[in-house]
Amino acid sequence: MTNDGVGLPVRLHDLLLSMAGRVDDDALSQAREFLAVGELDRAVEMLVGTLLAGSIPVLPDERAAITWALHEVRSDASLTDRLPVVEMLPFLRHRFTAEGDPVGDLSGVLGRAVSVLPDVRSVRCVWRSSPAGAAPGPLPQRVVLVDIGPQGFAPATAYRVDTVLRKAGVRAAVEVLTVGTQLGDYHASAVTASHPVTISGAPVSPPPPPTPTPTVVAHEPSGAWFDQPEDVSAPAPVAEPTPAPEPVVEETGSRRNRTPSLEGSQPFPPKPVKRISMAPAEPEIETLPEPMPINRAEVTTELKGDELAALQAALAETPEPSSVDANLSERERALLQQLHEELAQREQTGAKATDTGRWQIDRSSARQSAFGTSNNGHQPQ
Amino acid sequence: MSDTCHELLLRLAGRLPDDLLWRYRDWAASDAYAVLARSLPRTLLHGRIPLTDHEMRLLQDALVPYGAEPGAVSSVKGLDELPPTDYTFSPESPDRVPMGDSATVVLGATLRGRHGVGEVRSCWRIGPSGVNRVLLVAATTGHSRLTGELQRVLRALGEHDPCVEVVPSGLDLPPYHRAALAASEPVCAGAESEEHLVLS
Repeated sequence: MTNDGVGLPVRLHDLLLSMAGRVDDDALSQAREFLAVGELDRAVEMLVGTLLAGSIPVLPDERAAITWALHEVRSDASLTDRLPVVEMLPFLRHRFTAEGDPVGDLSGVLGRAVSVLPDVRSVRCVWRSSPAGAAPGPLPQRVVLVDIGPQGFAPATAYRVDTVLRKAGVRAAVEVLTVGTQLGDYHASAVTASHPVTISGAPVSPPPPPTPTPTVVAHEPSGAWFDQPEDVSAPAPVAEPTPAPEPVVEETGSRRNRTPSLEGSQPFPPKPVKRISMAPAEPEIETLPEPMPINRAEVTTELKGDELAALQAALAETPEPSSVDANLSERERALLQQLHEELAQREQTGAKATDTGRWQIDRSSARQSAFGTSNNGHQPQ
Repeated sequence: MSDTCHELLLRLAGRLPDDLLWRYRDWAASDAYAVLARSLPRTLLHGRIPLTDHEMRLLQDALVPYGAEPGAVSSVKGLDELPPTDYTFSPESPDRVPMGDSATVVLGATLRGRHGVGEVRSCWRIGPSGVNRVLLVAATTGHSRLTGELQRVLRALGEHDPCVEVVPSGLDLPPYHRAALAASEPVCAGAESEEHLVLS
């Protein structure tokens, strides 16, 4: 880990973020509190102790980062010697859902704290229904996701929000994410399933236009952190929309716009009940108008001359009802009979049909037909 | 070493913050003494938490071999005698509707007839941090591991900061545990049915 100008507390916050879902939420909360009040050594030792006690595996670069952190806070860097190191972390799938109203009354609880914290862009909330760490707490676990901008201070925000929630009797894992930071699977899944928390007193801006025109910035990560890992095909990252007057809702809106790109990775797909609106085809049949009596003249006048002749010849070749005809309803038989009569009448009068285009399908008959088509459904081919 | 550390952490009940105490006990149960050796003295110093001479010896014996800084250990304040606990204990929770206690049922199913476990009792502690269940277990062996196991069970059942007091045989109970025991009710008994929690 090199020194690239990022403060040590922020680095440690990011380290703790990377452990979310792998160590228990209370350990992370405790470590973040230590971080916020300046006890960095205790923060790192809390993490190391939890990893050791739970035999939680880490990647080689993660152990290197923790060793570096221990060294930086003047703790014992050899504490990481006993950490179980693996080349690939075991697959750990966390499940998140917004069913059951995770937001609840958080708006009122968080209003004041969020209003005084710098550069808080948005707050979201979700339930996690899978255990985290070796000594997990009860489930489901509420997860509060706070999105901050570059002027925000992640450790302080995590600590303050967590404190306010505890004081209000709300147990939640508070994850503070910085705009422009790439998300891991845990946070990406949580954000995808989360619901926004409308902060009391914050002005509610209208949803952003469907086709925003963000400024392209070549060297900076794209605007929102939550869709970073998913949008790998994007040609270039885009800048965050200007959050000036209503930063909280502005960011929320932009997240909503980009969220569909994450739908495929959503661990908790919406239940079928939420998809009913996607399949209105069947009810549409019931709303069709009642079938109107067929205007024979209207139907026949739309036949071309050659079509009429072909139809006549075909009817002449089928003296008896075919097996298909046997399946016709009484109404269809009546219509067929009317057609025969009409053709005979036109042949006698020698009247020429006007060329109006096409055979007009009687939709009402088609709907009721067992073949799913109109009367011309049984024309011989 | 394990017994020494367990006794120290047992004696710190009600004096160390619950969220840290259960964590340190969990570390001790998992043999994470190296981290405990750095963290516990730091916590005692930060909270200005004093120790009796006996507890000081326990601290030195348990954690200095694992890397605790002798200077930090020596800086921990001394205490002539443990004062009475500030907590009050009750056999019933004052803020829970008496609709049955599933945690007690689970603990009874887990510990009944278990080897190395004697009497198991439970009470409720009322203090500034709210109301917490206190589980008192008499045990003859594996005190740290039993503590860690019961803590994790209680956490999964909803106790974020579980108060599990596994008392070794013959231990002179501190004031905190005596008060808790006096207000407790039996949950079940393990295989060591002769092992009772007694007020000394």
